Amino acid sequence: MIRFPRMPGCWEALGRRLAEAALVLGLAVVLAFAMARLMPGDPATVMMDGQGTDPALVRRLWGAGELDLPLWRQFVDYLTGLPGGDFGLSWRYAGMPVTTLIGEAAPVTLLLVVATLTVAVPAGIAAGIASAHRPGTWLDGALTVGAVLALSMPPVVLATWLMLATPGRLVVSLAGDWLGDLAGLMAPVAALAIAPIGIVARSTRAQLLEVLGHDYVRCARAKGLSALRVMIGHALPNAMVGVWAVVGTLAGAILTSTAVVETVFNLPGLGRLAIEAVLARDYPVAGAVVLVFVLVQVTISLAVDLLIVAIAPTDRDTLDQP
Amino acid sequence: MTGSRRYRLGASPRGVICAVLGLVLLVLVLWGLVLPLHLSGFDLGRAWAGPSPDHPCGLDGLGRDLLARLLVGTGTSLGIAVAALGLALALGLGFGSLAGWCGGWVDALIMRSVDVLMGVRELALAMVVAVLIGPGGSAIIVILGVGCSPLLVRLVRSLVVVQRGQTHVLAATALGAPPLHILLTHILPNIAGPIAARSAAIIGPLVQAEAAFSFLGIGIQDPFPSLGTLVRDGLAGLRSGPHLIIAATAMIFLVALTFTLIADELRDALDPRYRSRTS
Amino acid sequence: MRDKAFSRPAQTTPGVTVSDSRTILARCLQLRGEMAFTGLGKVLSRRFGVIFVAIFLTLISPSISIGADNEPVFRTNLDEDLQTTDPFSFMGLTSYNVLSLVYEGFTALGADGQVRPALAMSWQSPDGGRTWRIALRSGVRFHSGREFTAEDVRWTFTQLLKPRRQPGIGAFELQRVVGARDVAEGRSPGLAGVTVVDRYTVEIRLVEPDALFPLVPFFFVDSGIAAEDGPDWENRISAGTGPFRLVTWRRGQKVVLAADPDYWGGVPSVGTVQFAIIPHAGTLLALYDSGNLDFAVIPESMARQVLGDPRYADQRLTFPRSQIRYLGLNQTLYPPFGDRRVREAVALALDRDAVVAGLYHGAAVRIDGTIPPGLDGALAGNVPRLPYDPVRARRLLAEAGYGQGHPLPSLELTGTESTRDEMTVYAGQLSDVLGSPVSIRIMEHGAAVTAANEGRLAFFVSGWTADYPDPLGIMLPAWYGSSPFNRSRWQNSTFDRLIDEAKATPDADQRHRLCQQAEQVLMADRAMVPLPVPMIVALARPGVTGVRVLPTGAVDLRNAVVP
Repeated sequence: MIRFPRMPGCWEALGRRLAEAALVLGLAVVLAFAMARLMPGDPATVMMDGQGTDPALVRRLWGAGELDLPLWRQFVDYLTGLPGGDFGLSWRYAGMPVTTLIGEAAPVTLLLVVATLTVAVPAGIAAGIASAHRPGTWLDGALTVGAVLALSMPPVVLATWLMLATPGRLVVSLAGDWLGDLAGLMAPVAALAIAPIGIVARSTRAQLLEVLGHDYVRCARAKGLSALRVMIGHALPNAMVGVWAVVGTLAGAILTSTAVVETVFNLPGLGRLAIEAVLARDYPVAGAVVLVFVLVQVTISLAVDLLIVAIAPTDRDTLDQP
Repeated sequence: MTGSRRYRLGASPRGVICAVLGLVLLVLVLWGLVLPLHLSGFDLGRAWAGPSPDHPCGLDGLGRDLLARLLVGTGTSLGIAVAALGLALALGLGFGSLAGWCGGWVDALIMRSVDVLMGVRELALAMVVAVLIGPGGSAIIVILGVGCSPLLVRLVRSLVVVQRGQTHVLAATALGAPPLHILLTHILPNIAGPIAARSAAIIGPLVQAEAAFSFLGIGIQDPFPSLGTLVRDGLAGLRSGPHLIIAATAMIFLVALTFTLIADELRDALDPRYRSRTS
Repeated sequence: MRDKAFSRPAQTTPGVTVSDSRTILARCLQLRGEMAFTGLGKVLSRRFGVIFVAIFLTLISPSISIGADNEPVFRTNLDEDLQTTDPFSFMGLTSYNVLSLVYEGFTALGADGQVRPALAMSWQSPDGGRTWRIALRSGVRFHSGREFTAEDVRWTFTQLLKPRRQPGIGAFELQRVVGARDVAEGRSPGLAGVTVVDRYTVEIRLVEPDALFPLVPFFFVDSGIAAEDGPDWENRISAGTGPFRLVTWRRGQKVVLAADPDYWGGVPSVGTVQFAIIPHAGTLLALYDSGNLDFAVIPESMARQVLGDPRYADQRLTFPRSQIRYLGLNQTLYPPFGDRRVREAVALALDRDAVVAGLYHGAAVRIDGTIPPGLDGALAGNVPRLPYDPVRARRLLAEAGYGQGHPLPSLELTGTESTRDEMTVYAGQLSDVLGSPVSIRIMEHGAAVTAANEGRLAFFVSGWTADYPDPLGIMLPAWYGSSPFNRSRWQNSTFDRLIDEAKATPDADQRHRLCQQAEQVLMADRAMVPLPVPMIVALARPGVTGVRVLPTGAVDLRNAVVP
């Protein structure tokens, strides 16, 4: 099913994408460094709040004065550590390697994101098909309203309501491994998936409606094929290109929303780790998590673009469209 | 044979609903402008009181009238969203036309910058700007305006590229008209439609983004209300007074729905390929 | 290492337990033994069908307990994660509160805020606080079984000072011991200022007199640890003398402690303590409501909710804090504050009682000075009561030149999210009286602390918690002229002189009298505006008794009873 692209412009487009990805990663490295450090305060001051020890003294002694070094010097140290996969040691967790912390938190977030995509994409496409099948009817209207409701609900409100609505026994057990308690993940995944379902549904509907206006569809209908068969067999594959592009950007959005959902549902994942790291001015951890997020997002975008190019080489122009 | 029919607002049920909602929203916002907002009218003893004849929406956590805060807050959030949209339109039209008209390395430079800007998550951008400018409405307008400009830059650019090849533009160029004149008088009227449709679609997400930032504390500061601060207060009072969060969320939903429907209607009205379905 | 204490289901009512889906699977398949069903459970959980059955059964039926659960487990919460379990490098308050159940120091905090002896029986200083002779308690055993002696004190102090990437708070407290610098810079292997006089007596020499040295919370560690268990022991071994041993710490999730049967103060009445790490306040209440917690310490942001909710009426507990709160007035950054009448006007313009009653339903303590009522050394009535008198406030302002037509320049009150409601009320009240608008600025916590410490805030909400149970623990950092935490940069030579004298007075009563005099100087000058201090709010499930929250926020559960 995967065909090599026949049009010569494809490789150019891909090359551009790769260069862009590299640029975004580079920017992410700088941003990851700058983000937490630009905020006023440092780990010593934040941690010392309410205790009588002079934070200046603490800052000077921590890491042999690492926190007092000029910013450019800290940046250079940071850069030299990166290629080796050494993100440094955490400030908040008193010397724990950042890679350990990320390694502990990543599986949670990974599981959440994969589960969300697995649930949201098929559900969204199904809703979009139902909506486009009979546009303008009450079903279409209801689904549109539903999609807007899903998208307009502030994520923290949605997460809180779902958390409160979950029976106590299904909330992730505090006593055991979160991994062994899969039922407890239903609610967080639901919280994460609702907005993407709305996005995918609306995108599918829009793409389908556009494709359904083309002549070959009318031709298929004229041949006697049922509307549904035409929809799924002919229109959908062509509409999927646009939808996949949306899914590519979805992954990034879902990653960002894991922060809220993990906090509300008390899951020890990357999102929650990032927020706590920024609040505690734990620079190495905050920077590393931002880098990981951007890396994942860029990878997924690239993968989706590759998929688009492989499946539908004639639509390479869609790579450039919003 | 089906040709495109002329668009009429009342043709589909969605159009009617859209018009009604738009009017309701307008009335609410205007009403909010005339309602007095007592910023220090606390009534701590009756915090989170439910709806009553005096106070149709009840009271908030500090005993202030919720209806006034809700309406003023909606107006504030919408105002910020519109201002941000204005900024984004300015950036989009400016850079998009530049990229679309000039082509070549100018185009490549602008488009790659836009792509990189899209790769940067909004939250990081927001924090940086918030630290530099300080919290408040202007910071949010800058963040949101710059943050959603890539969409408009891309859209304008592709539209300008298409228009650039049209005969009337080629004719005007041949006649020696300066590019700016061509852009303003020949191209802009033709591309205004899709841009308007896209802009209307952005307003909903902009209001939500403003709510998110005000919720985080980077936006409108107390005691001035905005949808974000109302959501935050509502969440804090969820157990004592659910009417707060319900009202705030319902308002956000109303705004998002109204503008989504408006955007859909605009897109249908302007795109000749969308015909009414009769089959 | 899988820990038995936490994989057993938590208990809500006798005979009926709340359980997770793995235990449901076990019950379905009549399996016993943890390793067996863990392995099989993982295999079966790959099949969706079994998952759905498990979920279905969980939903429709109350679960039956596998076996008798006779070890009482006390489940409570932490609102942020531990920083470390290493007693030599911890810094934060949360780590301190948990580790104080595992490790002990010379003294400890009693129920009434008074100092009580812990590992030190008595302490004397013959020369005004420069040398301390401390008699240690005998018959105390570490969790390893070894006996606690003076050698452990010297070893602990030396280890605290040894250079490491992140020195803990102990290292900073020890800076004033003779020879500390030499150890910290690696020049000397031993600490010169600490002498082991005999098995249970230690003598400590300080660089400068410090009346409060025995009150500083140190954690004494088993000196045999490093020799036996090698490096990285702190994550595997519990090496203290406290009532509980550290069993496990799952970062971001929970901390588990187990009772030490040989504790010198008597065996704790709960066998296992489980701290669940729950940073989000809403989630905390939901988990408490669903029976997953026995005792919940409510973070301040949720205190109002809990205080106003009738459902919690007989489960609520309140405890005082050893803390002051105040509005800081920087006289340099906002020149009108330089006039004492303006400062007094601000103080009179706030209706503190309305805030206590309206915002906190009475669960807040009014302080008119700077020594919290429960603290050792507090004297009721030492400073006159501060009334709510807006009429007099306006008159004072007029006298100072800010009457009708000449309002004060605009004022901005800075604070953090947790005090938002109070700040809004105060700003409103002040606007009414001062005649000029008072706006609010909410800053992120870290940014606010930094700005306050750097003296960049003109008008702000701040507070201070006593580091140790003595008025000096508040007055020294918060108001002493050259203190880095003197956030309003108030200077008064009389006050400083009294504090200097108190610092060198080992006799507690005399020291307290000096502090009380200093408090009078502070309040007479209207250096700051005291604010009510909300009490610590906790929820205890019906049947849970014997638990207290100390004024520092630590949970004292040595006598806890769980149904």
